[in-house]
Amino acid sequence: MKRIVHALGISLLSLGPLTGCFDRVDLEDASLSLVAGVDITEDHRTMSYTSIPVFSKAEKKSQELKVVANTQREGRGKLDAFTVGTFNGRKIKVIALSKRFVQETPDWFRYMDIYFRDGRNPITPRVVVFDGTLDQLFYYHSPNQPILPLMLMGMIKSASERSETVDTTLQELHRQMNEEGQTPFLTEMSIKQDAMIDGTSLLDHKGRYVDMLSMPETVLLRILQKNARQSVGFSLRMPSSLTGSTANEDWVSIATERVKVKIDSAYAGGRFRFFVNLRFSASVVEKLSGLDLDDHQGGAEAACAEELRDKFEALIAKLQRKKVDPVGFGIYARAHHYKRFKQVKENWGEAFGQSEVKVRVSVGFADEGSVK
Amino acid sequence: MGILSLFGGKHKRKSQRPSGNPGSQALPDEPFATDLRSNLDKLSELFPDTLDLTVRRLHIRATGQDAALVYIDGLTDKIDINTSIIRPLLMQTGISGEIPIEIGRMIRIYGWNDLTVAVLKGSSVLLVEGSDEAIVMRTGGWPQRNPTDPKMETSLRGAQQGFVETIEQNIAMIRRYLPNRELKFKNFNVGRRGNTQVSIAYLEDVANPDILRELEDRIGRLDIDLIINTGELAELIEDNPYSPFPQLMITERPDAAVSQIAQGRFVVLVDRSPTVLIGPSSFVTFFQNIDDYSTRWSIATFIRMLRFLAFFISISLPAFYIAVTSFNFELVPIKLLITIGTYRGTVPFAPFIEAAFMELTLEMIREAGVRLPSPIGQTVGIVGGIVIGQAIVQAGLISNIMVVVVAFTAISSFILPNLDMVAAVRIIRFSFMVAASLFGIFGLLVGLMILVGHMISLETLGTPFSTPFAPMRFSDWRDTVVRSPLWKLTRRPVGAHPIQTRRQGDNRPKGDG
Repeated sequence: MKRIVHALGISLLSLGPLTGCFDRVDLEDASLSLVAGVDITEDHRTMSYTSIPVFSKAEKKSQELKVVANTQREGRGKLDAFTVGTFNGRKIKVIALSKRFVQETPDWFRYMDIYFRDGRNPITPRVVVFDGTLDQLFYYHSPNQPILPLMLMGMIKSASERSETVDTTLQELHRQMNEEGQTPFLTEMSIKQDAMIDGTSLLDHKGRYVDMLSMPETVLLRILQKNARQSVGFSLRMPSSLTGSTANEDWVSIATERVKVKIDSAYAGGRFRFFVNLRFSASVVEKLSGLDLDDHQGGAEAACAEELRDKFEALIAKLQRKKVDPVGFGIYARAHHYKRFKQVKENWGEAFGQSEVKVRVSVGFADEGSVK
Repeated sequence: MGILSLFGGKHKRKSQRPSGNPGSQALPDEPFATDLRSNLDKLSELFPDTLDLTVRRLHIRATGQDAALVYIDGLTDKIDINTSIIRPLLMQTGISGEIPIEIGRMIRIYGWNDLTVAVLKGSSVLLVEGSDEAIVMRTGGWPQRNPTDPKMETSLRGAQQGFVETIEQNIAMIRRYLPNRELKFKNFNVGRRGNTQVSIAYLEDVANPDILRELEDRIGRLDIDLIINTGELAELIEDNPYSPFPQLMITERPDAAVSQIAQGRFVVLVDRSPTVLIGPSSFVTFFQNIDDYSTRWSIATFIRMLRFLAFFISISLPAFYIAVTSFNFELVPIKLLITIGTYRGTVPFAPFIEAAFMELTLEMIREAGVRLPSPIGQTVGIVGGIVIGQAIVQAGLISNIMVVVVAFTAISSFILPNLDMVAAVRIIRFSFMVAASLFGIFGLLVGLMILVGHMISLETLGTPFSTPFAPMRFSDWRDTVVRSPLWKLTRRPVGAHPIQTRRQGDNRPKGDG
C-alpha cells in the first residue's frame, strides 16, 4: 500500500508544475474564433474581425465582431470585451484578408506573426483574399448558407477539390512567402449574388497583390503545379475542317484521366528557358458535332492538344507579364542552374518575366464514351 | 528505479505467519478407547447440545459385536444409511467375521480428530465394541442442487452445465471432458474452521511444474478461519492485490475450465463454491470466450477485435469527452464541435461533473439491477431508462452528447466477456476521467502510459500478465486479437508455459480434393 501511495504521490507531484493544467476552459465558456479577418480603415489602420459560434438557443448562431487594433493580439484583447466567454483563437479555420489590405499594406505578412510565434494558434487555417470590405463578408447572412466559417470552409474545399482555386493554408503561405523561386497565391472570393469563389489571387514576393486568375485559369495553374487532384474537364473547340459542322457544334469536352507534367530548364542567352511537356490522357465525355472519333482520333487528339497549348501559353504569358511565378519555375531553375539562379534570387519574378517558356502538349484519348 | 516500477512490484508475501490459532479443533489427536461406552461418553463430551447428531446403537449380527453409528442427520443420505449400513449390519449373517457394510468408500480411522472432521463433513462413523478403530463411510447427502446452465456466463453453443456447490460433482464434470490419466487433482484443506477442500486440477504432462509449485505454495501457506467462495481464495493468492486487474480468472463453466487445463493452465476448485479459478490468466485470456472456438473463425476474430476496441472505448471515452470539451477542443472536427457546443451551451455543469454524475448513475442502476429480485429489477431498468434517456436531458441538466457517450461506454463494457475485467474497466475509467478533468488529453495519455506500464510489470502466478504482447510471443498472437482457424493453433500458448507444447497435428480441412 505504501508503494502505491508513494507512486501516486510522485506522479501527481510531477504533473503539478506542468503547463496545460491551468488553462481549462470548458467548450461552452470559450468564445471560439473560427474565422479571423484583417482589413484596413480609410486612414490605413488595421482592423480585426472575428466570427464566433454562439452556443445557446439564440436565433442567431454566430456572433461577428470588428475592432480597430494595431496588432492581431491587441485585436483579440479588444474583441474579448465583446464576447460572453473567453476569447480563444485555437480553432481558427479561415483567415480572411481584404483585397485592399493586401494591396495597400506593405509587407502585410508580418501581421500573421502571432500565428507562428504563439504555439497555441493553429497554422492550418485557409487564407482567403476577399474582394471588398470585410464588413460585407462578416455581416453577410445568406438565408441559404450555414454560418460563416462552415460556409467559407465548404466553398474553399469544394472549389479546390475541383482544382478551381488553390487551397493555401497559413503554413503553406509561410513557405511561399519565404520561397525564392515561387510567388504566393491565395484563394480569392467575393460577394456578388451570393458569396462566391472568384479564383486565385497572385501575389509578388513581398506579398503585394498583383493580379488574379479566374477559375479556369486556376485549373491550368494547378496542373502546372502538379497539384490537380481529381480529374479536371475542358471544353475545347475543334477546327471546323475536322468536324465539318457549324461553329456552334464544334465543341468537344474531355475529362483528364492522368496528366504527366515535365518541366525542363536551361540557361541560354542570358535568360532562363523552360520546356513544359504536358501529356494528357483524357476521356471524351461530350461531343456536339458528328465527328467520327474512330476515324479521326489522331486529328481530334492533335486539335485538343493545340487548344490546350494555347490556353497554357496564354496563362504563362499572363504570369510573365505580371512578373509572378506561382508555378514555381524558379525551383527548377534553382535545382539545375544554381549559380545563375543565385544572381537573380533577390527578385525571381523579374527574371521569370524575361525567361522563355515553351509548352508542348500531347493528348491521348483513353476512352471515347459509351455511345458511338 | 523508474517511477513505473513502483506500481508493478511483485507483491511480497510476509513469510512470517501470525502464530495465533484461528480454529479450535486442533486438539491433540486422542486415540479411541476399546470400550464402546467410554467412547460414547467421549463423543457426547465432544458434541454437547448437538441435536442433529445421531448416535444409533446396534448389534452387528455378523460378528455379534455391539456398535454405534454416528452421523449428523441433515448432512447424510438417510436412505443410504438405512439400506446400505444399518440393514446389513442388523440382518446379514457373517461369512468371514467381517463387518458387512454395503458402501463403496470407507476408511478406518484411529483418533477423535478424524472422527470429528468426518462426522461434521457428512460421513457416518461406526464405532465397534472392542475395537480401537472406527470406520468412516461416505454417506454425504447434504442439500444440493443439480447442475444448471451457467447464469453469469451464458453461451450460445457451449454446454448448458455449470459448476455446482459440491466439489466432487465439479471434479466429475471436469473428468467427463478429460478422461485422461494425466489429469491430476492436488487436494488441500483450507481454513481451520471451514476445512474447505481445495483441489488444483491440471494435466501432469502438460502443465508447468514450477507454476504448480508456486500455486501449491500459495494455497498451502494460507492460515485462515474460513473461505466461503472462490473469489476470497483468488484475493488471497493473487500476485498484486492493489492492481485493478484480476490476475486469476473465475469461471462457472466446466467447458471453459477444461479448455484452459488443456492449454496447460491450472484450475483451482473450491468446495461449496460454484466457480473455479483459472491461472495463470494473462490479459488476453479475459477477452477469450468459449464461444469463440465454436463459431467460425472469421466471425470469432471480428468479435475479438470488437472486444479489444470496446475495452479501449470503455476505459477512455468519457475521459476523452472531458478532455476535448474542457481543454483540447481544437481536436474536434468543426461541425462536431459546433454540435457539441450547441448541446453543452445549456448545461449548467462542467463536463467532469456531468460525466461523473452520469457514470455514477449508471453504476448505481447496474448495481441496483444486480441485487434486486427480478420483478423489481425491471422497474429499475425503466426508471433508469427514463432518467438517463429522457428526463435528465429535457430538464437541461445533462447534454445529449453526454448521454450518447455514457450509453456507448456502457454498451462497450457489456460486450466484455469477463465480469472481473468489466469491474477493472470501471475503476480505470473513473481514474481516467479524473486525470482528464485535471490535465486534459495530456492527463489521459499519462493515465494510459501508467496503465500500460502497470500491465507490463504485472504478474500472474509469477508469469507475465500481458503476454503475448509484453513480452512479445508472436506464436501466441494467433489466438489473441485474431482467433486463427483451429487447425493453425497447433501449439499450446507459450503464455501458459506448458512443458508439452504440441497440441495437434495437421488438421487443416482438405475438402474434396
